[in-house]
Amino acid sequence: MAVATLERDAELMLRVREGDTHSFGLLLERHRVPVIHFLCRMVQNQPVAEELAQEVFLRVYRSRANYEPTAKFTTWLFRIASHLALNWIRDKRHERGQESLDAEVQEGMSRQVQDRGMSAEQSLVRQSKFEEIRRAIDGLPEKQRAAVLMHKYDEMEYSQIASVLECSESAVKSLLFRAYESLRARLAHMA
Amino acid sequence: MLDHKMTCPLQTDNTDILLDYCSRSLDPDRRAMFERHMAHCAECRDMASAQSEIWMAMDAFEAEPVSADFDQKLYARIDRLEHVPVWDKFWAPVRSYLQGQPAWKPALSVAAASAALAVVFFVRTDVMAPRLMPAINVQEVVEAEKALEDLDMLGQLESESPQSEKETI
Ligand SMILES: [Zn+2]
Repeated sequence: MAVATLERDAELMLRVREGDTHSFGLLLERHRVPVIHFLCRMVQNQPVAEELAQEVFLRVYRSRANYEPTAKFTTWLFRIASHLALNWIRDKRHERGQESLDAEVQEGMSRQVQDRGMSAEQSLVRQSKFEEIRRAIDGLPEKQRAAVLMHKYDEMEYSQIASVLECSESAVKSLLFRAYESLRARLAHMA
Repeated sequence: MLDHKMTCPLQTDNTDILLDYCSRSLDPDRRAMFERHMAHCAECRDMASAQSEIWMAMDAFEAEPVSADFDQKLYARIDRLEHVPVWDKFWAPVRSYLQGQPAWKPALSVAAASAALAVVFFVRTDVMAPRLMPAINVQEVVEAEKALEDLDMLGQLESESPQSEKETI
């Protein structure tokens, strides 16, 4: 493989492969927040998101011995995260049915919006906006949801989202367009 | 390519230009071109306006801060992972072998995991006292299976990753 400049993450991961645990700490530092936030918005339950994120990093660590920098590290990371999130959502849906999943989601996100020196009114407006967006995103089909989250909050390129979700770039563009179309329809009154 | 009389993106499959415009990720030339198009295309103008509103409204969906003990929990799990693998003595040579056998990896890994498990159970029931082998269970074999799956995921990325992505590696 012609690798002119090895990306920083791959470099760190290769050091982890050689037994440098400090480099694993640096990788964790770089990606902990984006992975957890992605999972949190995906499963809409903070404790579950953190549990899944633990699994993501554990899997990365476990795979270190045979790691080769064949693809962008973040793509691999988000692919593992997406798989875990999509599986969790599907399992839960099968297990409990959509209704109780919604209840669980709400409970898991209830601590979400807290006062940060705002007036009660500001806080209420913020809470209600948050709740509307949360519900609208939760209403998207899982794959559309994952694509939107990576596009909006992680600023990923279409090609990278395509690699994470194992589909073509044009499929991602179409997924995104449909997803935003639904969001525009659901949230039109907020504009 | 887009020219001054660009085809309406809503009439073609180029809706990404609209998304890129609203996420402010269009390069200046394309941005200017799309703005000229919008000047006489009400549909795109309305769509861009609605999409920009949504784009900004989505900022309200903030994620919660990460728990302070996240790393501590993770390292504790890693530590547990590092200190139990008696069975790994059985597994390591098999794993090295599998590295060179990608096509057979899934099938062989299942077989190898089963074999390792069988050895462990054999040893456990016939030779050693159970308390000497407390941490060896199906879960460990499952964990090893997961690690292999994750590497397979990385392998798949290599074979399918588009050119643009390889350049960023
Ligand atoms: Zn138009």
